[in-house]
Amino acid sequence: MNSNIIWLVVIPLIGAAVSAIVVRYKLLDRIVTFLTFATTLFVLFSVHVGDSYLWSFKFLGTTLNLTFGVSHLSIFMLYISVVFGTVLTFYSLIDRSKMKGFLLLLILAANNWIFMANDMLGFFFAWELMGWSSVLSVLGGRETENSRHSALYYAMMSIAGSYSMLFGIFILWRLTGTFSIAANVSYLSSTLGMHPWWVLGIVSLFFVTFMIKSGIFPFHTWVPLAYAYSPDSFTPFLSGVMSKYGVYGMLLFLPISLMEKGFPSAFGGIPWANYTFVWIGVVTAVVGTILAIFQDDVKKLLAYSSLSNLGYVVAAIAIFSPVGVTAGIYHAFNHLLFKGALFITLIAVISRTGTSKMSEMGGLWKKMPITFFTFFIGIASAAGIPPFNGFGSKWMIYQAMIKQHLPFAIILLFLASTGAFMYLFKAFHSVFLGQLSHKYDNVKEVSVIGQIVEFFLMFAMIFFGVQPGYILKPIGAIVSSMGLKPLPVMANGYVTGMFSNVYVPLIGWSLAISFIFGFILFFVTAKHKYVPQENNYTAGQNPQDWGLTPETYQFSWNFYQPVEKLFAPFFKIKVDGFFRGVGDWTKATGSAIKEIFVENAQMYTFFAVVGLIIFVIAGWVA
Amino acid sequence: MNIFNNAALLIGIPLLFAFSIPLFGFISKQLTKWVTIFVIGFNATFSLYILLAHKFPSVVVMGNWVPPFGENLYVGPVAVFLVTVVSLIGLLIAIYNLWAIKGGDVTRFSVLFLMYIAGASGIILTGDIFNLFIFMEITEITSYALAAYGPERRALGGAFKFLVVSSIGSTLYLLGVMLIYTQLGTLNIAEIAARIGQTTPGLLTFAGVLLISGLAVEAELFPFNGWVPDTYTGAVNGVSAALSGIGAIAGVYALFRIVMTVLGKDGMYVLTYGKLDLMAVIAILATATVVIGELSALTQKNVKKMLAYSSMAQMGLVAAGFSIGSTLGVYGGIFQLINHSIAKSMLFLIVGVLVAAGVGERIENFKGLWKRSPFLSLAFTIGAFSMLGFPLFAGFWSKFAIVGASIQRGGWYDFIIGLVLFASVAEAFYYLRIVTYIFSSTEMEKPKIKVNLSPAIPIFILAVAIVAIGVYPNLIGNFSMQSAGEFTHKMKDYVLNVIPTITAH
Repeated sequence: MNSNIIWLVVIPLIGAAVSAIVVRYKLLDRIVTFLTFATTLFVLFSVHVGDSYLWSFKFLGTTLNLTFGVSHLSIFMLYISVVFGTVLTFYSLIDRSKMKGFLLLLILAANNWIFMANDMLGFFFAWELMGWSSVLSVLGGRETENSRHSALYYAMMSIAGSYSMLFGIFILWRLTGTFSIAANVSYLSSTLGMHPWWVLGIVSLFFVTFMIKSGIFPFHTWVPLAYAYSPDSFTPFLSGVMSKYGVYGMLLFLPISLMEKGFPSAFGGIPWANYTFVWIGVVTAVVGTILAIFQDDVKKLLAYSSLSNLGYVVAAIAIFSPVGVTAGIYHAFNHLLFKGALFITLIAVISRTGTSKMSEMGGLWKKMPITFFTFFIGIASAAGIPPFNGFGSKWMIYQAMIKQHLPFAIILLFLASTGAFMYLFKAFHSVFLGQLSHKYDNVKEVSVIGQIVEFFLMFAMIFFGVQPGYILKPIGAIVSSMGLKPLPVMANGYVTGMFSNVYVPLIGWSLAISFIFGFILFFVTAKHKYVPQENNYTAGQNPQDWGLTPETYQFSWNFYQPVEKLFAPFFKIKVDGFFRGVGDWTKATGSAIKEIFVENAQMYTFFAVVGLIIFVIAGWVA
Repeated sequence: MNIFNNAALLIGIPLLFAFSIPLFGFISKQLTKWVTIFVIGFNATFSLYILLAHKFPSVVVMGNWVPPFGENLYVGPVAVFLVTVVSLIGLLIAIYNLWAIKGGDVTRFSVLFLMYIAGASGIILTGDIFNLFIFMEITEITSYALAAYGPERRALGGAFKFLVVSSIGSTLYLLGVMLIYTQLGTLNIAEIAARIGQTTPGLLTFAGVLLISGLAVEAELFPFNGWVPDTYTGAVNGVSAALSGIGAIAGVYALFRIVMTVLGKDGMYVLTYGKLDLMAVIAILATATVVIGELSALTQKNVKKMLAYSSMAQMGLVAAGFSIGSTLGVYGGIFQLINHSIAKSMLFLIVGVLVAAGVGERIENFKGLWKRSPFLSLAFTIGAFSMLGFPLFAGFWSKFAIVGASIQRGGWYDFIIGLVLFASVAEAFYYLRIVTYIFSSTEMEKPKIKVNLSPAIPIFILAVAIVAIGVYPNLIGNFSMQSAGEFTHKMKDYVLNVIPTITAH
């Protein structure tokens, strides 16, 4: 027992109450939010693996135990989410978007509870709490109407998911009589041999929820909407932390597949349920990448990129081998770091330019150099370029796949990775490089607080890229707590793998040296001529005669048009259309049913009498 | 058998004052509203006293004619609890009416409102199926008149529909009572409950069908709920709040008192005597009600009508909870009933304030409400979230219990709860649509809304109650648990408390 861990839930709730009271004073609200995050982090230092707390209360006619416990996985998730939240809320002290502090704090309380819950009751409570507060948080983006629509869309998917999980929770409760997660998981794995289909059915009730929350294909449709139209300073949290809840949930249930006895194996010696799931991850990665390439809204682009990265994570953990799980959790961490950094730099850019359309930006690197470098390192990490943090995890994911003989999956993931270069380069170039539009002549770098955060993020991305051991060691503990053999960690500089180990600092140094060399060469030899945006492309003719506006000069205007043509046939398939179709169908049925209640009293009487007659006949027949 | 005759005051005082209100009306019209508050306040205090001082279970014996020979009231856990809730909500609505009811015949409105409260309390307290009919008539006839109150023409239409449908309902109920009387020669609920096994199964089934058809009107179950949308929409908001907050409680109580206590068989899951298991019939009706109600509400553009359909659907959910027949299910049903009354009457009161402030009752009118009145916006959001069963709000626990109970029973109840949950997703859509409208900003700055103290007090108290129950569910949960036993163990917890010497046949 350690009652400290309950404070991880209580402190954010108190903070939320305070913040709700001062919600009218934005700066005060932000300060309260930040202080609460910092206090939570401080409390987190006193929490250790194995701490537990039990809070029982009488409900449903019995005594229910809400159990909190800290496992290796939960402490890892707690640290990364709370630290990231602290950094984000520190940044948001200077932010002017409509993010409400008390909602973020409610999400934090739910966040800590989800990661510590040992029983499904508390898990569901926290999950729902997180659900509604995040739905409200999505409201209040820059574009009101879009933001409203996307919040509603997200809410629908999220609630459908929660109900699916609620159903699953009670089915398990009926079977085992307990709400404990560990007991139910071990029950499921012990029944797997006898009733594989039952177990698969129950688990998929949960997995639908987790896939929706993480935005895994085919439930990814809400992700671009909610990410793009949520308040700018909430998006980093949505993408960095909240997409990991689904991954956490999956990791809770995946140990079931250790018991492979009842399940036929697919290729590569993994149970075919897992095999299917690997493919779901791979498809997510590919779909996310392809769609990201064609976005003009930079937030939407990064949203699809998030989707794609979560696909990598899912594909890796679904293999459920030591390398797979290590790689998956590692990639989840890396994704949190670089995607958080990218979205945070975007707050800076958007707050200065007032738009998230890439075709309206460009050339900002001179005006915002620190933001530019942070974004650059974020892009390099996301693309998996060696000295930065995204490299190691992708490399390990490929190894995990090779080990399980999944060549086609690897080919598709490579394709996705190449595609990632395409969209990341597009984002990088269109936002920061190219020519500066005149309307941004007076744009300034973010204020000091923003710069501190950006330096910190740059440092973190390089540090965890060069010294991956610091993160691989705790992941090793998680892996061994799941009953798998952890990978050996040699020294902090090494990324360990199945076939060979990579010493990242060495790569880092060699790359740095060649980069510096190339840079010097560039400065010595190249001849530069700077031209204004209008003086370009048109060979001396008057651009207005061609119907060209300054916008169309922008680098990213129809950036990947040829590729877009190539993929055009595939865009006709719309998963989104399916969900909207279900919605429309429900609505149409609703309006049809509504006609029962016409404005005519005789009709009601008729209904009542017919109903009565049916009953009487039923009673007579029975 | 404990005798506690003072409990008869819970019906007597409101009736007495209802008929003497015209005298106060000669002095001042305003005074009649204060008298209403005072009388319902007495009811609330007295029932709270009975509840907290644990003066139940006990019996009110009229004129020393012990049951089953005389007419008795039974003051059990259910009755006390529900009467407390009814009178507390009635008190809050009366406070709201202080501001809302200005024009028209204020005196008669007060008479009707008090009689409505008296009738609802009577339904809940009575121990006699014929008296149940009388109180049902009192409640229904007053509610037609209340629903017709106000300047709007649609109020008359709504009230008329209610009158037609519920007259049919009352007649069917009376026929059912008659059939049972021909079989057993008694009208006392406790005695019928003990001797129900002696009846001819076929006739009993027919009587049961007539009884639930009659009671389903008030309990808003499909296909007897045709009156709901028009009556709720037409009535002034205080009355709509009363219909959903008070009438619904009485209606659902009466339905399950008859089906579970009178016709039911004790067991792990309550079933009914006769050829047809009426609990299963109600389960099917309830599911149909939920699905039809939620889907109809989906396309509504008028908030009040939407709330009416939602009210119908929620009653379906409550009935689904009861119809599971286990203690857990009844517990969830009662809990949900209370939560729904609190939240729905609050939502109607808020709509009333908004309509009076000139905002209007269409969904688009709610756009940007957050800027205009944070208080009403927050209260509406809290109410909507409680309806949807989001955690930290009251509705979470009851919905959780109902889902749990029905999956615990298993079998085709899995299917039922699946349909209910599907409908709940639709419900989430239309409530969240309003909530998202409230919090999205508009281009035009509109003037702020001033909320008077008299409507603000009930709305504030109800909102606080929702959050309080949400954080500490046992505030209601403990009482619901006590009440659930009375439904599921009818011999031990009901019959023997009224007639200690009787044995079940």
